[in-house]
Amino acid sequence: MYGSEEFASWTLVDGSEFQANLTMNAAYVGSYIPSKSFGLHIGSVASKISGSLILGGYDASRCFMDPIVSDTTTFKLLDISLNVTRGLSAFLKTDKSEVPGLLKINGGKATELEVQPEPGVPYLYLPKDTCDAIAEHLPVTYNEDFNLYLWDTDSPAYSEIVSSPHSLVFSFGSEANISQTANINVPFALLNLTLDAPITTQPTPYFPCSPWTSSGDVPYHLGRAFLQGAFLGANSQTNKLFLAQAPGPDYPAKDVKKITSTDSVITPALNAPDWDSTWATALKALASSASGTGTGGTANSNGTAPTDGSSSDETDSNTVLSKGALAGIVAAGVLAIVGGAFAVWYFIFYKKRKQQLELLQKQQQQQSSSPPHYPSQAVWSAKDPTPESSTPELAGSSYQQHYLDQYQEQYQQQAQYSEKSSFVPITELDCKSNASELSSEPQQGHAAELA
Amino acid sequence: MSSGACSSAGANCASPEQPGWSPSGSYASNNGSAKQSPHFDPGDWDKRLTPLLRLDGKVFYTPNRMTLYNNGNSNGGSLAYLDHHATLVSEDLKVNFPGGAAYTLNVGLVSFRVCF
Repeated sequence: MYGSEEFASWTLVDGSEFQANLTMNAAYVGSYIPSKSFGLHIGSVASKISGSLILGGYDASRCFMDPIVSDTTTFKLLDISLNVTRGLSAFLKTDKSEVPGLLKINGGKATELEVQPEPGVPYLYLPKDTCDAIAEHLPVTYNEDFNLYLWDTDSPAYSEIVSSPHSLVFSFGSEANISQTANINVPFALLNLTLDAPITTQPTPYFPCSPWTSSGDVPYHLGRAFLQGAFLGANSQTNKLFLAQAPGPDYPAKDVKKITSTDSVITPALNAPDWDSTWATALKALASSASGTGTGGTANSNGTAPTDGSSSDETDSNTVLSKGALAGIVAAGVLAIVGGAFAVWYFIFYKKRKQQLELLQKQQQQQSSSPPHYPSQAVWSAKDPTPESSTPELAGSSYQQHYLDQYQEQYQQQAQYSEKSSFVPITELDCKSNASELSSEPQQGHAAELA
Repeated sequence: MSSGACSSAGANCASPEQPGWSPSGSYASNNGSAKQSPHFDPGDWDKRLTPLLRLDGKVFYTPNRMTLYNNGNSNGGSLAYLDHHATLVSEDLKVNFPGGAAYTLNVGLVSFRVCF
């Protein structure tokens, strides 16, 4: 992809000069595109985000905020933070869900770095101090052979961080007003990449921060790892580069817009949903942390990082619940779940069973010689052949799972009991009907996931 | 990448191998090898990407034809041609790591860049 350059030329073996066309310019001169511009979102195969590249325009559905605009090929990076938008935090060495102040260089905090977004390179090329500051809160180890950080896949925090809404937040400054910042969130689900053959003999998950020392020719770079979660656009006729938040897997329908040769700004998606909601299907909030390190604070639901430059060692009383408050909430939650489960059990099962027992007694009195008919657990399996596969549909709700377990347990007890007596069983229709009711909400979620 | 990128001695390509570029039709006979540039170092092509990727090997320019299709559908008939289109080709471009691991580029256009 080229910008405003019109031609490429080279010397042939006979010594003469040869001139060839360049894509963008040739398409513009031929009136196939309205300007020498493009809009790009790299996306992610693993996270089911298709790539988008539009020449002469952009897909507004991939641009989730008023873009940060630069007159050069670089942007001003003011800070890097860790953030959890929903649920508990599994970040290491912190009890907070937000950890700002990670942009560091030469042993201290950096106030500003010039960084260049670049789809032609794979990693985040940042100062070693910055990579180390981020890595301090992750289960990763620096590997000098690859100049990358390898994930410790045996750590419970690894799977928690890459499968729940834990993000790396890049705060950029506006050229027009340096006090204004705009944040671009990149979930760690997109930063769980894999080295494979022929580079390594075994698939090796890595965190793509590659320590780099900036030079005049080569500034710090944000490569494809970053552009999986960010929108990049350019209009080389007005010398503008656009950078914005891109959505997750649940992005809106395509909305291709033209960029004219005089456009210095582009507009984001109209009525775009909250960015975090585009990841809600793929990334589930942590209800508890098996790593035992992240006690978490209140999640930062707007997906923004603090910009006051406070260090990660400082306490944010506005966002972290006290242990007492947390214990109270947990206790109330447990009581609510137990109470709810009991009420459901009583009104649906116990009462129904009581009615059936009464009915049975009447029937036994009336038809004492009739043979019993009842389903076994095998009937349940035959009619609902994938109880195991149905479990993930319910996994999103512990309450629903508890409800189903209780139902199945009672059903089993009922079947066992019926083998020893002439108990009239719950019919298959009842069974399927109730199972459907129980799982209706998770089933809808699952369908949305598949769609 | 050239179709011969992974068959050269010392190539270290990922599997499965991807189809590479090779000239065809009139571009092979009239504009192909006769219009190619001499081979040169990747650092002479791009001073930024070469150190970031620790590239080594050789590249060359050749003219090419890009075909535009209606709505991007190759079965819907061609819309136009972008002729004498400059294409950078590699036959043995390697990305290196500090510890000695390396792989041969065998897919993609690394010439995606923005120049003002």
